[in-house]
This record gives sequence, structure tokens and C-alpha cells, in this order.
Amino acid sequence: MRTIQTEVLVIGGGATGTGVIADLALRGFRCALVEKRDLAHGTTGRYHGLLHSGGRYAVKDPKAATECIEENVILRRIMPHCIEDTGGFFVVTPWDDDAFGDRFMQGCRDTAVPCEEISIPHMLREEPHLNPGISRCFRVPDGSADSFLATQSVAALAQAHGAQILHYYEVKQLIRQGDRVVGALCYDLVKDEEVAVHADLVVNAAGAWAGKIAHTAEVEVNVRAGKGTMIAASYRIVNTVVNRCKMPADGDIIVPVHTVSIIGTTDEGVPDPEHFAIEPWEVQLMMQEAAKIVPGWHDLRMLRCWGGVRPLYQETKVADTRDVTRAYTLLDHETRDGVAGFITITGGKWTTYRQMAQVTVDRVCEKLGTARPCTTHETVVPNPFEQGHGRQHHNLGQRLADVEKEEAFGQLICECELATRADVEHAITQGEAKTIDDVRRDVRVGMGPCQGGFCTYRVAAIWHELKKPSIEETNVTLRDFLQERWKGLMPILWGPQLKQERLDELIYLSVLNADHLPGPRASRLGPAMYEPGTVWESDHAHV
Amino acid sequence: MTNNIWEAQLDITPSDHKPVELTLDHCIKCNICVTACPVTAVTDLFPGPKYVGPQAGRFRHQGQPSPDHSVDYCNGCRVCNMVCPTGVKIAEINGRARAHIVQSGQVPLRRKLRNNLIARPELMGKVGQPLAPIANVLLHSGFGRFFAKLLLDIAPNAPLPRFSGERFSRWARKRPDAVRSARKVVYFHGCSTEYFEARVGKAAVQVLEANGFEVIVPPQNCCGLPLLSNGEFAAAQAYHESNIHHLIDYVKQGCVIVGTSTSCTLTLKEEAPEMLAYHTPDAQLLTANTFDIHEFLVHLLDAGELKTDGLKPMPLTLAYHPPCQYRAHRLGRPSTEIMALIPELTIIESQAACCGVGGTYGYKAEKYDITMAVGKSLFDFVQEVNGPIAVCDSETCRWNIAAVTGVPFVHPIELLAAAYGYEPEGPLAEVMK
Amino acid sequence: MTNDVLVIGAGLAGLTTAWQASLHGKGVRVIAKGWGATHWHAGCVDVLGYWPMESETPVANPAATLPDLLAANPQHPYALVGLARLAAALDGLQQLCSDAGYPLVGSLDKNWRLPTAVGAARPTCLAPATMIAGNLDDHAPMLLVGFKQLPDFYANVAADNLAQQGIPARHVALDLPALAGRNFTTAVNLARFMQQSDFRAAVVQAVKPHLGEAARVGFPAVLGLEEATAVHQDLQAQLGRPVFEIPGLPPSVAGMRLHRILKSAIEKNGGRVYDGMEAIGFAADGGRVTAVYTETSGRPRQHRYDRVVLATGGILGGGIVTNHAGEVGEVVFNLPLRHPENRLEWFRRDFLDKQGHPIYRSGVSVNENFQPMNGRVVYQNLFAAGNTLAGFEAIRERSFDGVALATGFVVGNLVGN
Repeated sequence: MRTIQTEVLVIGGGATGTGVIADLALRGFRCALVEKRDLAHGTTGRYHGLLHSGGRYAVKDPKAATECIEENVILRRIMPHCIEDTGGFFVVTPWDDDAFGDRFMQGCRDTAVPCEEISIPHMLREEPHLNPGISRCFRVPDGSADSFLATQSVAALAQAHGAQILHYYEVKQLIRQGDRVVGALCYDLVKDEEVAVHADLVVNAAGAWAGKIAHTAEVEVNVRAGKGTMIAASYRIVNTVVNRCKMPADGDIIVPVHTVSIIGTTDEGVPDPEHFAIEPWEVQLMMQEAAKIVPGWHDLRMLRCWGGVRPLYQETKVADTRDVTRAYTLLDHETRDGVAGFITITGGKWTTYRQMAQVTVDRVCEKLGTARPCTTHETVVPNPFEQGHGRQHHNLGQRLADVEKEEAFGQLICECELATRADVEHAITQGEAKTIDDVRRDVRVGMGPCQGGFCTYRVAAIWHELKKPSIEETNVTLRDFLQERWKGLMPILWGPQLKQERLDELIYLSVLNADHLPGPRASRLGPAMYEPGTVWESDHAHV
Repeated sequence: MTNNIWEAQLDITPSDHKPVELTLDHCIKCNICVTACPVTAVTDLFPGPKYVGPQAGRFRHQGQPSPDHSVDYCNGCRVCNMVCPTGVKIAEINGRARAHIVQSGQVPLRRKLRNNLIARPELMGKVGQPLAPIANVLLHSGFGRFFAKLLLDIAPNAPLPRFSGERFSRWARKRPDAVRSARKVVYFHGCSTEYFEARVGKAAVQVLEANGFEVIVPPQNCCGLPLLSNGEFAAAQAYHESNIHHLIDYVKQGCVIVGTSTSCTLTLKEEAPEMLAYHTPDAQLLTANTFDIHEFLVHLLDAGELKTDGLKPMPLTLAYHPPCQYRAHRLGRPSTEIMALIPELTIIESQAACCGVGGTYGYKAEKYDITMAVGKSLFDFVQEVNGPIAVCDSETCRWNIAAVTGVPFVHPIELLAAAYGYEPEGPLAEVMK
Repeated sequence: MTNDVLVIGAGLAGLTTAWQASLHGKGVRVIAKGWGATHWHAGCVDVLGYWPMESETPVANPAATLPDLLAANPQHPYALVGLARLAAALDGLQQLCSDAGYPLVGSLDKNWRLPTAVGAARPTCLAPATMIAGNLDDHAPMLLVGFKQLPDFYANVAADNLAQQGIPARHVALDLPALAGRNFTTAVNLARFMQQSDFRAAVVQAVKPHLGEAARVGFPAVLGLEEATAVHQDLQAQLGRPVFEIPGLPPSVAGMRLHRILKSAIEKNGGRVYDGMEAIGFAADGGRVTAVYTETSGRPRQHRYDRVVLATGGILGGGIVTNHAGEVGEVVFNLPLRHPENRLEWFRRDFLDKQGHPIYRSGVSVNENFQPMNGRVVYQNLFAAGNTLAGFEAIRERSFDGVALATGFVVGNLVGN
């Protein structure tokens, strides 16, 4: 069996894991990260993209609110290219309690979250599609974040400081020697082989999967999986993050991220983090709640739907997962469980990933008997896709402005999201993409209204040209991506998006006949589909 | 429809108007619009209606400067709208995007001055028409044009019209023989008839009177389309409001508005309200009661009310270009249906998408070559048909095609007026001699 | 011109209906919201490509296989058409295209297997002469030519897949100076360039060094618009071997040619085809449709015609619409539809499911005269054709054009008589 030796092994390639490994690398540790799919494939890549101001927790969870606003300021400084300065509104709709606004203001004051009330006409001038029945509006420094780009950027920073990032390495089992964890036995999905990674210390940053990972070392960590469903509308109906001004609940936030507006979320305890099938009631609820904020919501084109599983750590059982603290938890299994060489960091939220990493690596230093200061709060994270980027926040028009500047109209591969051939080539050759879905996370191909209808073919051809795989591999790569897009479409297919999907069928089946190309229909790198027997699987083929 | 077509419909249900940008949601990226776009066919400076419309539209933010400039190469012909299978209002999205560029101060000063000048035919008319003999010489001299290019970047070969000796509205006011009738319509002459081609207005009045209508010519303004298509929305809105002010009382008294300029009527009906997102009850009432003159005549024809007897034969074979601004009314080809009534007249319809001029587009030095390339097949067609005159409903198209081909153009209403026995003026008079 | 037949929709079904009705001397008007099916699809006539749908091998002889399809699905539009009329429809279109100087080659008893832009074998019944040399039953080696600046066709994947399936195929992506200086190039741009002899000369010059063993040369389907046949023949002459076109991503240049030929045929017979006219309502009296209304810039325009044909397409064409509440509706006449009752039954798990997704079989039920039915005839003078009809999976069967053409042909004759 192939083996890898390192000082610190980090499990999980989400925001937390990449944050930890970047911090480790910056503090000079030899370290490696294993992720069972692509970076940000899990919860990090499946959230609504909110950069919290802390407003959402100002009343309910002041500690979390303060953490958020502190990190909000830091992240804007160290990774501006990942953040759009949208600003945020908290709005009191006719379904909400007017008086909560005062509690909200007070909460913001108490937690140092900047907040000002603005007039409704002013609000409607800025966001004309909001419900004119809204009675109060508060402005806070929310933002939106590109969590794919952020994760890639942080990982690239780690790599630049010597860290090893191993994608498509699935942890089968932690390797335990007596009372000590000494590494992890991994499965390399791409090469189809097992690899042992040995380390002095293992950091379990597997998020919602942290309990499963710990369990393989016979350590019990009770991480509840709270599934949140989100729907993206294909247009920026708002340019400001809009929250309902009330205690956090289902479907109370719309986040403008890149070209879409995302309504989120539900919160449904699920027995297993792999269980993310989207139930029809969740879709209905999101649609209904979004329309309270933006009355024309039902007439918008829904682009895609997805579920992410929040890691919610708890020591005792709690019925409603929303009441579990969002503040993160660091578990030292040596003191907690008598198992050395193993710590778990879980819970938290994207906005606080850096702070979580800092606390974790501080503990690593302690355990390895060394004192090395954290520098992540002052280390600018470069954009791996653009050399020498300015310290500018991302803005909606940026990609269009770039294409216009170069008159690169003919270079567009994904026309919806304005990803150019150079972007795609870079993702394939430099970004270590293993699937077209990985390319998507890097450069947004296939994320627009046609959901890969036109670009899947183009990317597959470029893939084939650059990577020179067997033609069967290219064929299955193409089919995997078509299926990956379909997965997130099924629950919200109606109206224009259904028409679009039929055009996409006409292209891939009838014009290209891609369903009759040589090679397997699907690969192990393809999307994990919902478990059999869930509601979106129909056996009724005939009308 | 129960009442007569000349009676204004006042009980319209106000519809809820979504911003045109939201129609981009229906785009399925099929690029059919790109296959039909006459501009993208001839220049790679314009990446096509899908790119600048529904695609770029997702990257625009009203609160931020415009990220794009290529949208300015859209000439507003609306062919994309006509072929789009999903109903995206591409041309209007483009028009509003251009206005955003203008509003955020991203147009260089000289261009802005030029655009503001050529977008104000009313102003030019008011200043130039009283000095018609001098103004015509000056405007059409090589010297005048040289300076227009030098100072304002106006294309030296731009198809400039000639001022009339008399304003149409003055002619209309002082007619002793005007018909009086219980059936009244309001005539919207637009700037071209008022200052440059009074004969078109005269023919319209003659045709309407021959059908028993009293024609009212109230004070009115430029429809504002040239300003709309140059992104000068505030000024355009002022014109539109002024026109509503001038016209709406007639509508409320039961009169409909009939116009001979297809682009003016399209603006009153649809372009101004949609581009400006201006949907007051009066604006909606105006939309519901404004007609292109041939649309109006076809309604009369369908109702058996149009005078079709005793039409003089017109043994001519003429090229007819249904202008893009006319097709954009989505009425089919009312002019063709009416011209078909004239005995011995053979009309050969062009298949061209657009003549290229796009209102003021072809007057701009940087766009003149594109205009010529877009119109080429149409110019060839007109020369192939080789009639003594040719026919088109839209003034700037008439001037453009005539300037290139040397074939004089008439408005189709002039043919019907002549067939009714009225004495034609201008090019038609030459032919009918 | 009399107001005889109003056709709603200008896809293959609508245009065929109008063309046939106009041949009977009827006054025909086509109103269409926009263009559609012809511009999306490959520009061939697919009659039946896979049956049973899960079959891995394409149908070799549609005429021989169709009886099995009809036995299994007696509600299929082909069952109403019948084999004889299907054959007549194909003949009719072939005649029309041949008269227009753009022959469609093939017959109902044989499917071509032609290469796609990914190099799969595409079963189709009639294909333009410009595509025929790609026939994959012939194993002659081929060179596939792409253009670096054309993003809708990649010869590399096509060639490697064909090679993998036993057809010696190589590829080259041309980088012509005439295109390299452009900001963008579309298939339609290229088709227009191809009509210029100096551009063709540059193409030939660039291709020649790569010919090698190739006995035939494949291009994306961009070999001219109105002048496709001449362009094709000229390239064959200059390259000294058969040349063929391969359809790429929409919009389809080959489909545009069919659209133009059909539209010209209708107009030649005195019919009118109006774009940008969306049918938004109707009036009925005594079991007949008395008027159809279309949206205009000012107020609805009325169209009073003796007979009305609904050819607005299905979910793709826009004749059938759906919403978030799971409602499925027909857009003009609000006709009763066959569709899955429950939104949970609209889809199957896999995008490429062999049976297809049930929602796409939604459509209008008609009697043997193609009159929409709701137990009985809904309106005496209303007919339906094309993909708005219920009960078949056009894409899985590869019958998208065949059903449109055949039902349009039959309905055009019904309303023309």
C-alpha cells in the first residue's frame, strides 16, 4: 500500500479544513489535507453564501454575533476577491412583529454590529422588488461570499506554504495504535487504490461527517446533521442581502451571490449527512417564504435547488436543531476521550472559519509543544485564478467588464456565467480538476440558466484536448456532469427552466446522441444521487 | 370588440407591468436571435442580441456603473424580439442598458453632444424649418457636413432630409375645406411630417377624410424615440408626458390617435412606457388608443367600413420595405393589405431585416459603415426592382434607402390618397404625371 | 386572399401544415411567437431512431419497425398518420427541397447513421445531401475539420469516438487568419463566409495538408445558407473527395435552410408567415373557434379564419406551459391535456433515462382527424399537429421531426380540402 508521512493530517476540504491547513502551513507545520471529493464539495459549497454581519444572531446568540462581525471585518480585508459588499437589510414584513425591530437594534448595539434604520421609500429605491408592505428596514454590513473561490484560494495559500492537498481521498478509517490516532487509511477514488496517511496529529475537520470519522477510531462525537435546502433564482432580483427581522426561521433570507438570488433555508434534522434529498414541501416552503420578501418571486425562473448539511455539535439530544449553538466546538480527544493525537473541530459557520482554524492550530501547537503565532488575520489570500489581483471586492459586473475589455466575446465557453476558454483551461490544467463539476466550482461553468446545456459539450472537448484521457473517460465525464446538473434541477423544474431542460435534452440526446457513446454511463466520480426510494424517483414512465 | 374602431376604448383593465429586464428569465440561450440580428451579421463589434441582452443583463447592477459598452452597437431594430421563441424583450433590455451607460456619465462629451443634437428632430425642425432654403443648402453642402463630422462626429454621408417650405401643422390649421364629422380622429404627425415631409400628413388627412372622418391635429411634441434610443431617458420622458398632456383629453372624449410614422406610434403605444417603466393610467389609455394609420385602415377594412370603391388604377411595380419598426408593432403587414386594394399596383416586398439606419444610429460616424453593410441587401433589392419610386412606412428608413439607392421613396398612405383621386406631391407626383 | 386557414406556430409542423394547405389554394396565415424547432434541431428528418427506446442499437428500417411501435403505443401520433401518409409526407418534403435545389436524401425503409459532433452515430431518416458522405455504414477514413474560433463544434472528441467505433478518423482545428482577427465567430457567420469563394479557397488550402489517407472530409454544418448545395459541391471539387456536414450546437444552420424553404413555399402560394405574433386568446361560438387574438404593441389583433391549426409545440416549443404549483396547461385554447397528475411523477432519476421523463409526454389528445378531444371534439374547426400532441417521447424515440412533418402534412391536407 502507498503511504504518506506528514506532521499534521487534516480531514475535510471545506472552509474549516482548508482554513486549518492554511494556518498550519503558515505556522510552518508539515501538513496534508484529505478530502473525499473536491474542495468545497460538502457543506461549504452548498450554503447560501452569506457573509454574516452578525445581525442574524444579534438577539438570539450574542456571542456568535460578535464573532461574526469581527471575522466579517477580517475577511473583507484578507480575501476581498471572494466577497461582494452587498450590504444587508433586516426587514419587518407584514408577517413579522414590528416590535422585534427594537430588540434587533438593541441586540446590534450590544454586540457591536453596525446597524442603522432606513426609511421604506429609501429601501424601495435601492431594492424596488421588495415587498412594499415592509414596515421597517435596518441596514447591516452583510455581504455575499464565493465559498468555492475562497476555499480554493485558501488551499492555494496553504500549498504555496508547502501543504499537501489530496482531493478525492476518502477516509475509510482512522488508524489507531492503542490510545493514539496515528493517521488515516484513505481510498484514492481517482486511482482506485488505498493509501495510508501517517501523521503525528490528526485534525478532524469533516464538518457534518466528523461524527462518522471519529467513530472509526471508536470515539463518539455527536454531530447532528441539519439539512438546509436552498433555491437559486436565475436573476439578481435583489442586490442586497435581505433578512426577515425576526428570530431566525425557515426561508427568511435572500442572498444575492454572483448572478443569482438564493432563498434559504430549511432546517431539517437528518439521520445521515449523505441524506440530502430535497422534499417537495421544502421547495414549496421556500417559494412561499421568498414571496413574502419579494412578492414577484413565483414569476422568477428558479435555476437550481440544493441541500447542505450543517454540522451541529451537541452533547445532549435536542429536538429542534436550530436551537443548537452555531458557535463552533473544539474537542481534544486526549482529554475528552483518552485518545491522543486526535482533535475535532466542528460546528461554526463559513464566516468564522478563520477564527475556528486559529483556535484549532493554537491547540495543535500546544499539543505538539511549540509556540508559533497565528498570522492568518493579516495574511492576504491571493486569487489563484488571477495573478496580481487588486484589493477590490468582487462585484457583479466584473466578469462582463473583463470580457468587454478584451472583446473576448468569442472566447466564452459558458455564455451564461461568462467563463472563458482561458478560465476553463486554467481550471483543467492548474486546478487539478478531476471532473467537470470540479471545473464548475473553479470557474462557474454550467451554473447559469442553461445549466450546462451549451457548455458541457465545450468543456468536455477542451478536457479531452488537454488531459488526453481515453475517449471513454471523456464520454463518462460528460455524462457525469449532465447528471450532476440534473440532480439539482429536478426539484424545481417547471416553467422556463423545464423548457430549458428539454432543449438541453434535445441537444445531448437528439443532436449529439451522447447517450449512445462508448463507455460507462456513470463513474464513481459522478454525482451521488439521492438514496433509492426518495420522492423524486418516479417509476411511472408512461402517461 | 363591440364598439367601432374609431371610438376610444376607455374601460381598459390596467395591466401589471413587469420591468423588461425580468423577461430575460425566459431566455433559453438558443441563439435564434443571433441568427436573425442584422448587425451581428456584419460586424464583430456587436456580439449579438443574446449576449448584450439577456446574458449581459444578469451582470448589470442599477447601483453601479455599467460594465459593458458593446450594447451601444444595438441599432434597436427589434428583429431579435420578433424571432425570440420565448418572449424576451431583448431590444428594450438593450435600450435600458444604454440609458444606464448614459446616466452613469460613461459617454464622452463630444458624442453626448452629438447624440443630444440628432435625437432632437423637433428642435432641429423648429430652428431649421423657418430658414429652410438656407438650412437645406448648408446641411447638404460638403462644407456643412465636413464640420458636422469634425465637430460632432456625424457621418459625412448621413441621409439628411430637407426641410419643407411649410410646416404641416400650419397647413392643417388654415385649411378652409376641412371635413366636419361626428367621427373624429386625432392625427399624430410626428417631426418628419411636421418639418420635412408635409405631403405624408396631407395624404393621411385626405385618406381619413375620404372615409368620413374629421381629422384633428392638436399641438404635439416629438414622440421622444430618438432620445430613448440614445439613452437620454429624462428628456424622453418629458416629451412623452407632454404628448400625453396634449392628447389624453381627446382620447377621453372618445377619439383615437392615428399616426403615419411607425416609430412614433410604436413609441406612444409601447416603447416609451416600457423603456421608461412609465405606466400611469393615462399612459396605458394612450397605448390602448393609438394606431398606426394602416392598422387603423385594416380595422376599417375588416369591419367593411373602408372606402374601397372607385380606386384609381396604379400600373406600377414597386419595391416595398416593411420597416423593422413597423414589424415591431406585431400587426403583420397592414400596409401590404391596404396597398393590395389598389388596382394594377404590384408590390414586391423586401425580405430584409432592416435598412440599417436605426433612427439616429446611421447618423453617427462610428456606425455609418455598419448601417451601410446592414442595408446592403435591401439597397440591392430596391435597385433590382427598379421602380420609379419605392415605398416604406418609416421616414428615416425612406431617407436612408433613398440616399443610397437614388430611388425616391413614398409612404404607402400617399399611394392610397392618390388612388382616392387626390393630387399627389413630391416623388409620386412625378411618377403619376 | 381569403381567410381559410390560420396556423399557430412556425416550427416544422406549423410550416408543413401551412405549406400543404397553401398547395390546395387556401388562403393561409401563419402566426408565430418566434422561431423554434427548425433552428434548434439538426436539420434532418428523424422519423424513428430507437425502438424500443431502451435499445442500444438504432432502428435500421423505420418502415419495418414502426408497426411494433404502433402496436405498443396505439395512441402514438404515427398511429393516426399511418405509414402510407408518413411516406407521402417524406416524399413531399423531399420533392420540395429538391425543387429548391437542396435535396434531402433517404427513404422510410432505411435510417442513415450519421456522425454527431461528439462522434456518436445518429439515426436519421432524411438528411440533406450535404451530410450524406458522413454515412457510418461506410468505413472509409475521414478527416474532421473544426475551426478554432467556432465554439459550437469540436472535431477532436468526434474523431476519437468515431475511431473508437471502428471508423478511421482524424481531426484538425483550422486557425484561419480571416477568423483569427475576429472578436467572435458563430455558425451563421461561418455559413455566410463559406458562401464567399475566397474564404472557401482559404479553407481548402488549410485543409489540404491534413488530408492524408482521408477519403472524405467532415465539417460542422456551416457550409452555406441559401447557397449550401453550391458551397458543398465546390468544396468536394476542390478537395477532390466527398465532403459532409455534422450538426453542432444550436442554432442549426441546416435547420435554418429548411425553415427558409418551407416559408418561401408558403409565400409563393400566397400565404403569409408572421413572426413575433403571439396568440393569446380566442373566441368561440357554437362549437367553433371564431377568432384568435394575438398580442400587439397596442391591443389584441383579431384573426378570423375558417379553420385553425394549433402547432405551438410541446414544453420545448412553448405550446404547453407548467408552473410551480404543478399545473400543466395549453397556452392558446386551454385545451384539456394528458399529463402526469402529480408533479412527483414528472421526472425519473437519471437525466439520460432511457424511457424519458413523463412530463414531456404531456400533450393534446386528438381524434383521427387531429381534432383536440375532450371525450368529444372540442371545437369543430380546430386541429392540432406536431409536438403539442400527447403520448410520445419525441427525443427518446428520435421522432422529433418525423411526427411534426407527418402530422403537419396530414393536417395541412385535411384543412386544405
